[in-house]
Amino acid sequence: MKVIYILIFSLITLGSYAQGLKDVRINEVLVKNLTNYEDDYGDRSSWFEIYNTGHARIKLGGCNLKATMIDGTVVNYQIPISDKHADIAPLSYRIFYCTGSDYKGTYYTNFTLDNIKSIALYDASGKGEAIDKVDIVIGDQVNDVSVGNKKVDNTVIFTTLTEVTPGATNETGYVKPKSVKFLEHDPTGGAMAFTAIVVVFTVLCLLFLIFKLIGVYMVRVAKRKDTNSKRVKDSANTVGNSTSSYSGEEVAAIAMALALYKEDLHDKESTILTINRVARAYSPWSSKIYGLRQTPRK
Amino acid sequence: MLELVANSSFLSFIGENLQQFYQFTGFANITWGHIIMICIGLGFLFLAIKYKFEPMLLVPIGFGIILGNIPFYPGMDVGIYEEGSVLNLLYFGVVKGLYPPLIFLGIGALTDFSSLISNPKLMLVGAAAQIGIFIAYSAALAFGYTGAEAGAIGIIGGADGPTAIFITSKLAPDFLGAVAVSAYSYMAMVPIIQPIVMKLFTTKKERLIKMKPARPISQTEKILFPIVGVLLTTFIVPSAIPLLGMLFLGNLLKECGVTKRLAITAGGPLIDIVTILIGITVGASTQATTFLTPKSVGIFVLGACSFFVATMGGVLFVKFMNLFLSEENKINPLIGNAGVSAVPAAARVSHDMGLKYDKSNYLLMHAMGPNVAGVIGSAVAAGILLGFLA
Repeated sequence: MKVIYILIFSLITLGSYAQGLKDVRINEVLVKNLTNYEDDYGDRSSWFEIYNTGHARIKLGGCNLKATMIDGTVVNYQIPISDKHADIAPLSYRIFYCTGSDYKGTYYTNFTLDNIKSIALYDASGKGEAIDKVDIVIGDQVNDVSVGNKKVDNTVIFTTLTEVTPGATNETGYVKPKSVKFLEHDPTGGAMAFTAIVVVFTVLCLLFLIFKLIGVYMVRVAKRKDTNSKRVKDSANTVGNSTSSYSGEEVAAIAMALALYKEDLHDKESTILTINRVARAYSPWSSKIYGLRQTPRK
Repeated sequence: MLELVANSSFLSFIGENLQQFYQFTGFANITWGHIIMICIGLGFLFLAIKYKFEPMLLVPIGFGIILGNIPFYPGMDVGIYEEGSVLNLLYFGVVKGLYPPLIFLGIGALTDFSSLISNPKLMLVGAAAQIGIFIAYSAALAFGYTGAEAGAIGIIGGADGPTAIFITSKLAPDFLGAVAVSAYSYMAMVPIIQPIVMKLFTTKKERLIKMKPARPISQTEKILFPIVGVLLTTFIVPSAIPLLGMLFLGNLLKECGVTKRLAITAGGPLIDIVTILIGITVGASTQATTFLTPKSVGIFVLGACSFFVATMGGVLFVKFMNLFLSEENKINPLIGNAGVSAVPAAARVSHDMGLKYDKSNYLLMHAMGPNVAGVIGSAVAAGILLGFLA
């Protein structure tokens, strides 16, 4: 039974892990970095940025980054699983520097982007379908110009970006807040008032209808119960037994007495009284005599 | 001679320190804004203690206003807006919308939905009263407030403090103090504002309508209500999950009969603790520098309008419903005001008004129906505002 519970738990946790990783995207790549962003060592190298589109922190430790080169060779970089801080916050970015030497830190890959054809992100198994993959045409890359995801006509495409934005959104233009957009279409608030009132009425009307139906059903059930109890009572009376019907007050009094009695009951009373011996064992640590100053000898 | 020099330098040292100390006191930093705000805080305390206007809310808020407006030298890490100060840490629950759902949990554990379940058509009254929110939203837009600000102002019409705080913290955090104080002030003034509107829109004959007693409700119905309620409302308005989810959870704890201890905690100590925290922090957030602005005055005026319209909406909707109801099923329009979600103050107003015109007309339990429907309605309306504007 325990094994089944462990299996279910593992499946659930694995599922949620995979679900979280599915929110990660390779968001921006800069292949030819001549005068742009520097890494922590002050060097300029190729880099790519990943973005967590989800609303939960995601652990990256153990995940695999696979770089496929033009000649078909695949270089795998596994993000150190031992790095507890290898994670990505919700709606946040993480930069990986492609220096070709992974000893510099967690976010420095063992491959460069000089002859890159594609970069892919895989889960800890490193197998199966990639979580995200981007193809890069090396001949199209311009010095200090990055490629990345950008919204064009409400569709996100991987294209050349107008600005290099490491650790930030690729949508560099002014993004109108939702309320401003809404206001442009509804400057007087009339549409909002109408829509909202309709929704509020719909919700409460549905609740009304459901509980109207439940009420009708309950009244019917209550009537049926009432009829049944009357029938039982009548049959008892016709038999002529001593079971006389109680008045409402009597029933209420009995019910009250029973409730009070039940409330007063404790869980279980053994009625056995146990007297434990309280021992005060002597210890020099607690002895008063050692805590007092001795009378000095003359 | 040397002694004299030493004494004079010591005195000047003490003098300098005293002068420095004075710079840190409230007297050196006081402005007219602080004095006005402290007077407002004292006014809240007076109303709460002397006239018992929502004392549970107004005492912590009033005291919070005083605390928040004690002048101090900036940088001492004591102000509510100074990062890391104790008040700032407590204010976190307001800013991040943590306290309102906890209050809703308590409200759910304290509320008896029986009157609403026995007469479910009263739910529609709770829906109609929400019109105040959206009229105030339109009015705020007309006065030049932004969409998000207008949404925060509109929610005052819902007469629901926690909902108002929740929405404002998401849409217009700068208005938090003004909106919260405005919402709670009008909630406290329900017994003054609402009777005027109720008298204005009802005839004497209507005020005398006696409503049919509610049918008894089974335990099954009481248990079903929060389950069906949460599924239905949150599926339609997921943005209201924190508020409605907690409201219905609290009610389920109360009604299911097997979690008595949890229901007592949610409806007792928990709601009391959160009420104190929300009251004191919201009060303290009304620092004169951020609160005393023309926009705050506008919020108060628009808040009053939305409250007025909400009450009117509820009363007029009952009259409209009566057009379609048989004589024995007619609803007293005096319970229409209870469609705003000031629980149970609005229902108490209906009851008092009913008794004023007929000593044998007890409207309290009937008014509780639209009153609790108002809580659901305002939370749904809040969800819509969030969905559209956040």
